Amino acid sequence: MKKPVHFLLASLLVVAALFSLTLGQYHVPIKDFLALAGWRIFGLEQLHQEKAALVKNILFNIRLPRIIAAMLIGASLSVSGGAFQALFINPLVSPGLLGVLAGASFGAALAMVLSKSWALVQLSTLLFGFVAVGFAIGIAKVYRIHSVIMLVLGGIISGAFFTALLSIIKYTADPSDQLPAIVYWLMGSLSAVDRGTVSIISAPLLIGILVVIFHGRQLNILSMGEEEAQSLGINVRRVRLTVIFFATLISALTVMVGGMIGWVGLIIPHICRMIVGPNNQTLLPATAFMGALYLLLIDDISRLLFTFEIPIGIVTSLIGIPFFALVLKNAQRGWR
Amino acid sequence: MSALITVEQVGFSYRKRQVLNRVNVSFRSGEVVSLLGPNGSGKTTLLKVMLGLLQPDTGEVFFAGRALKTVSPKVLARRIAYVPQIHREAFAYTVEDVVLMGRMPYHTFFSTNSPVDREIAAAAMEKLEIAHLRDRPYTEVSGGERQLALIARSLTQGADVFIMDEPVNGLDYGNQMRLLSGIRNLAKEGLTFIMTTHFPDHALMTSDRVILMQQGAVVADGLPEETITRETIFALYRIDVDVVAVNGNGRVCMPVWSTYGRAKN
Repeated sequence: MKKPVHFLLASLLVVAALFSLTLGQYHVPIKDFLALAGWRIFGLEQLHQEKAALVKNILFNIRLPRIIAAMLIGASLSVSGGAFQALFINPLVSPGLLGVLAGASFGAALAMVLSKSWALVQLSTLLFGFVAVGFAIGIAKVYRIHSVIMLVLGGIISGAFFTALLSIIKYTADPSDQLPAIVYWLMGSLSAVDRGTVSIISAPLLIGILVVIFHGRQLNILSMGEEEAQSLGINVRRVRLTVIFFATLISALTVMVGGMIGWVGLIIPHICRMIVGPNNQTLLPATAFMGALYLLLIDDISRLLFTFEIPIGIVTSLIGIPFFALVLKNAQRGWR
Repeated sequence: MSALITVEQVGFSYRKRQVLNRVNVSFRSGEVVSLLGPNGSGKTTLLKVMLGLLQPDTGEVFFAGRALKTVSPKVLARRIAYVPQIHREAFAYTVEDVVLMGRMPYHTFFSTNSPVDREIAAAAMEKLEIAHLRDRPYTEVSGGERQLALIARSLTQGADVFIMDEPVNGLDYGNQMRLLSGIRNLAKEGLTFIMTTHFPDHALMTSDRVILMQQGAVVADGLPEETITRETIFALYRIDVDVVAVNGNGRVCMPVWSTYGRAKN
């Protein structure tokens, strides 16, 4: 916590997480919530046995995993978006720049069509996220002119390619069950999140987020230009590949857990840059907290606004796009 | 004093175009040296080879007696700083953020800026008289101030060799002169400056030595008054000039207009 703003965001995040625990179709009165907490933490008098089991199940098996997933996904997308913006010296890029989201979506859809195994779907999602990014880097390597620009173009090509492949899968999928499954998946949703998934992805996501955040200083210098960075003693290639690897890892994992959740990785770093400035050493931690907070609140909205749940990807887009249009005017200060 | 940087028989080509051709030059500690030559004569490439940003195809660069390629980038960064031409594409870091980047070669992966780092950066900004710009966005200060910030960053880096690519490019006359006199003052403290320029006058004003380059080769290397003459400037640029002494305290290089026609009144 280098700056008060980080402390503030972290506190808000804790409050929002606790608050989100109380939200849901099944009403858990604050009284029960406190009683359960009192029993768990301080060993006070317990609730009625059956009720305690029910409340515990709702809180710890249903709501808590989803809350953790929302926060981690929000933080991951925001941090990798922020890191990519510095790496590519362009505040308008998003984590999907190198094709990771298109690749991961294709991977998921492919496995859904070919197999019924959920594990295989997840593996394929992760794998093709990396394949798409590798493809983009490969294209850049072949031409090796100005590497950053070639990387961006490679990413565009890779993204378009995997989007086309995804269309083929959709076209050939069984329209009665497979196609809807794929389409819903691509809209993004956290409704399938359970304890098992969260316990598997938490560690890699946290590690990835931290590794990227700790590259803040290097990213600052890289965003001044490749040669300047090199003359300041930075191993440009290594830093670039490390950041791309971990950003790809955490982005592909978000698709694995929640499908396509757009716009977070673009808007959150923007908002944070307006608040804390462009220095990545303070910016990246701020985007992590802000992204977590944002997606947590959006998920609350998407599961509570109507009696049915709206896919979270739709909500992030609906809120993100107009917001982005509004901040664009002020955003120049942070990067021009 | 022995040479700090020695460039020996260095050749370099971009794809098939030969940019440097058997270049031999050396630089002593505390010198101010200007590289002068037409566009495409290989000045910038030579700077980049000396910085280790480009690997020469032939020949070798030595820094303090060691082959440059065997010096780790981090160690090199503590001795040699690069001041590139001014750029605008970066994010709006504060001037202090930019100056603090100079502490990079002293940091391990996890360390954060210490109070000592900030003091060093503050001292550098003080020295270049830009302390008042500390919290201003780097992208919103003037070109001259930006250049001063980059020099402050080089000081913060602890470097004693400053390699500058057309430092006055894009600055107005006042800022050009302030920057050049700043360079002279820093040179008095024993810092070494190697810079490219397009202005023979600037080379005459600031340098202890001038190196003329043409088509990838060094064509002259010596005292400013010996290297910048009517003949050499004509050979480099196809422009007739007079090099004249002014008030006994300097020389200026002045084009002889009549040779290429002046608009008639």
